[in-house]
Amino acid sequence: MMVGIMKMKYLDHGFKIIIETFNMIAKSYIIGVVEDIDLHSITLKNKEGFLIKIEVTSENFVFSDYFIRPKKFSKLSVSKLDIIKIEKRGGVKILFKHGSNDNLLFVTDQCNSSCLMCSQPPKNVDDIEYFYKINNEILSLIPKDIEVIGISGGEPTLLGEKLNLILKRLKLEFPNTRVHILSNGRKFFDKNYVSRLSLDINKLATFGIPLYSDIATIHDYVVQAKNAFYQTAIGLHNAARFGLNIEIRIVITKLNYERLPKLAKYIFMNYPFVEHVAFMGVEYTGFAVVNSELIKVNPDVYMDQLKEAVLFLNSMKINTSIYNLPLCLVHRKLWPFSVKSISDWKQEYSNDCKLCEEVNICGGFFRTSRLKYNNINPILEKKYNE
Amino acid sequence: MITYSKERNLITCLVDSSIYNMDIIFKCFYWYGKLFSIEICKKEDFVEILIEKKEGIIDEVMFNKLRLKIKQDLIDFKTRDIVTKETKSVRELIIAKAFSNLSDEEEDIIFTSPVDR
Amino acid sequence: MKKGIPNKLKSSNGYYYLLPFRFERINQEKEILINEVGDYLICDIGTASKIVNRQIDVKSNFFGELISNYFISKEPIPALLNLLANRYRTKKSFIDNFTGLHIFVLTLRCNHLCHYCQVSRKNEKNELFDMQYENIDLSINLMFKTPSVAITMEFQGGEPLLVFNKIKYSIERVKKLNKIHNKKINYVICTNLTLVNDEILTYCLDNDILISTSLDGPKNIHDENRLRSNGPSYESVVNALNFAKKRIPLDRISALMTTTRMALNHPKEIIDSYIENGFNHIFLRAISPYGFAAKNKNKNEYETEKFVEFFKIALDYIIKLNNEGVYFVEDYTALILKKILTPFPIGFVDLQSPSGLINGVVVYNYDGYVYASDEARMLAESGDYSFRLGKISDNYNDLFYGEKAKEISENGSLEALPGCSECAFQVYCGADPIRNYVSQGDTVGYRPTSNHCFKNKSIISHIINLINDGRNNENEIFRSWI
Repeated sequence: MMVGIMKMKYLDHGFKIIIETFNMIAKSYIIGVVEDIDLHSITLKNKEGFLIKIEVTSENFVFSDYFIRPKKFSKLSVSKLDIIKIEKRGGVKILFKHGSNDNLLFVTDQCNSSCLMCSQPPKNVDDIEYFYKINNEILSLIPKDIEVIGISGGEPTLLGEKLNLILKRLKLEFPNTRVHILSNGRKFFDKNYVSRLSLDINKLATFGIPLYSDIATIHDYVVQAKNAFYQTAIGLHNAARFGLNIEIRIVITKLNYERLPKLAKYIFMNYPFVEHVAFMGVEYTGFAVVNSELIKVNPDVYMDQLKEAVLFLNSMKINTSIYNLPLCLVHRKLWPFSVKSISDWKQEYSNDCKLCEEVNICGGFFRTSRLKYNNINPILEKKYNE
Repeated sequence: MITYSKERNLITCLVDSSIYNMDIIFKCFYWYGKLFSIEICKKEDFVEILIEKKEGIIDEVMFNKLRLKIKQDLIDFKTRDIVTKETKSVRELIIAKAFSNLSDEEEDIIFTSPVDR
Repeated sequence: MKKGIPNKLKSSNGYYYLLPFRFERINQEKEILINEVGDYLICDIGTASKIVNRQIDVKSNFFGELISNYFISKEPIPALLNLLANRYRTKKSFIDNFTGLHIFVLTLRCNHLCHYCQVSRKNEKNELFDMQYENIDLSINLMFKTPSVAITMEFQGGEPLLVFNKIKYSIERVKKLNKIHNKKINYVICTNLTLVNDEILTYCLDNDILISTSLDGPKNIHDENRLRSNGPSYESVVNALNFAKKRIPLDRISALMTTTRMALNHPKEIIDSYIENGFNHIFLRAISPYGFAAKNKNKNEYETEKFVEFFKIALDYIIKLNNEGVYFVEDYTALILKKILTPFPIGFVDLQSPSGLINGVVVYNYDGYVYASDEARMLAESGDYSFRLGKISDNYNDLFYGEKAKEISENGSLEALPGCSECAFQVYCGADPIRNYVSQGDTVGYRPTSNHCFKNKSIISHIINLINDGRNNENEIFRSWI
């Protein structure tokens, strides 16, 4: 078996991968499954089955989850069987975390909406081909029996035909995997598009589609796109007509919290076919920080509306969850709906949480959130009957 | 204009037919048919409605109640009439669309209750 | 546009178009607006007039709400027309299923002598009043011709258990034939229970047959209404009920009550007796204007106002029970609630438009004829054959799509009936041309004096007021019923 050895050297602006042997020189990155790892070296197996060993040359640096970093900041979270990408300039990115239920194929940074609280602001870059290649490599490397995989962006439907190709590949090679696609559903306005998509998609696939208000102008304002509400509304019905599974995702902001009960009723009356509704706290990063004045609202302010909306949908037998809110900020009646939804690598607890009795069932906060909740209140005694 | 003749036990309504068409008048006074016998006569630019109690007499109190009710009902039925007429074609469109035959590969969407699923 | 900084989106000009909706005052302050698919908004009085006169502020949330709920549109052909059409199709999807309820009257004989009996019973021993085997076979053939995938085969009487062998014969035959037809079939036997025994109950259990019985309330009321040929029947029904409960699950047994004049004063006692007997629901039914019920006027005739009062008191009491932790449902309210609070259709033939006659229910009668509904065959017992579709031996198309069927369906749509076409509660109500015919002389009927109209309007409006008020957890309780 051929083994390529790469060495890295610290430069002023980061790291550089120096390829000493092997034919990887043309590529700007290497993707492979981690076969072996220690602080100073990683051995990867690429999709052709080659083993590649990467070493850090300086004793002062180690592998960390994003970049090869100075020792004091690092926390080595790459582990065996993860799929990682190592870039020429020294970036290390985990593409697939072994054993996690939170893996996704990131397909583009482009988006046709520009939501005011977007945590991952869209970029106008021609990146579809780039990510398409990477994602195909990932698909070649991941185990065929994984339970669930996400597809996210940006807006996946902007991929056009390439999304169909990815979905087809998933359907063929991963027949038992639940595919979860985050899309704004605006493209579903086109019935023919949905019809084709439905042919290429695995029956277990679900589309997570945002609907921020029952009022068109509010929804359009939040997503910063005129007619987005109508496109998504008609899109949801087209999706139902062609048998796609739908989840509705509602990010709660200052702009929409007052009408959450009306939105819940609107969803039940008009989209009762959805298999899940998720109410979500904001991740204060990206546009959410820029627009925090406009969107920020503390959970205690909207808890009554959230409670009414969630309990309504639940009483109408619609599966409902709450994502991204620490339990101490959620009304106890809503605890059964709270899900530990924050990806483990983004999840964080505050100092106060050490005292909390319920920390084990709590999803914590976004480590990535720049604005923190100011009323974290550790739960000091377990109460079940409130 | 609504007047009341005690001697004849009769309420007379004069309705401006440029404001209230015959559809409105028929639909409105239809509901008075349980207790009253109604006679509707079309005059030149108004309609005269004669309201006679089938049993018993119309006293002052009843007349005053009726007068308010008739006025209110006329406005309500006028509102209903506007909706009915303005929405006639869109209503037909909704029904046509709901029951149109679709091509083979398309299936009509009919919701089912989560309970029945 | 600077990255991430919000743009105010341009809004269009102020003009808007109306979509079909209806309205009605529900109390001194509020009116309800109801659209073509049953979505409602409860607003201040005068709102409908403001909408129609284009006085709604286009920048207000209410304007947006009116658009999302299909009351108005910014375009002459609404952007969400497809959604509205899908909603409409869903609400009317009971039509696609065509006849779902097939009633088999295998015998008219009965061992009870109820004064309100809606069919004239005959002597227990006279077999002339039983359906012939040949007609059972032909009826089953007709039943299988219905396009409906899910059908209910209901055995009525008389007392059908007097001919249990014929019930068994029918079900066994249906089971065999269904191997080809593959329909989902529910079986129901409507019985006074007095004849049940181990064999019958085991058969019901094995075939998942629903037993529907009659219980009019506590002993004094039940016995006043429902007499056996040899005396009162309460004890025997309760004993039979207890006997049955030991053998089949309680959710496979249901009971119906009929509100007689005597019952009007005892709503609570009646409900308590249902709870005592283990039921968690009741259907508060007004008496029907047919058969013996029409003859025994002194016992049965009451003003519909009185029934509505009774209904309201009973419903209040039921809500109170629910608040005390007793889950108990009033079925008629639950049916109406499903129409008000959900986008789904209901399979209950009395609350449909087009009416449930023929397209929802059909009766194969012991006399060898097919009738448009249970009420139609009751009418036939008093010599009026207006709603007889033809002989059981006739061909399916002639019976179900023939001249008679057309004639009956002509006045079966509320959308086209005087008094109903602009009624706000139309979407929540149902057409009943036979009832119109019986009580008012023709199938069109006359709403100002119609008891049916008065009853439904009062009850629907009462339920809406409870939803609007909601001070006793009505909304939560109502949602748990549907």
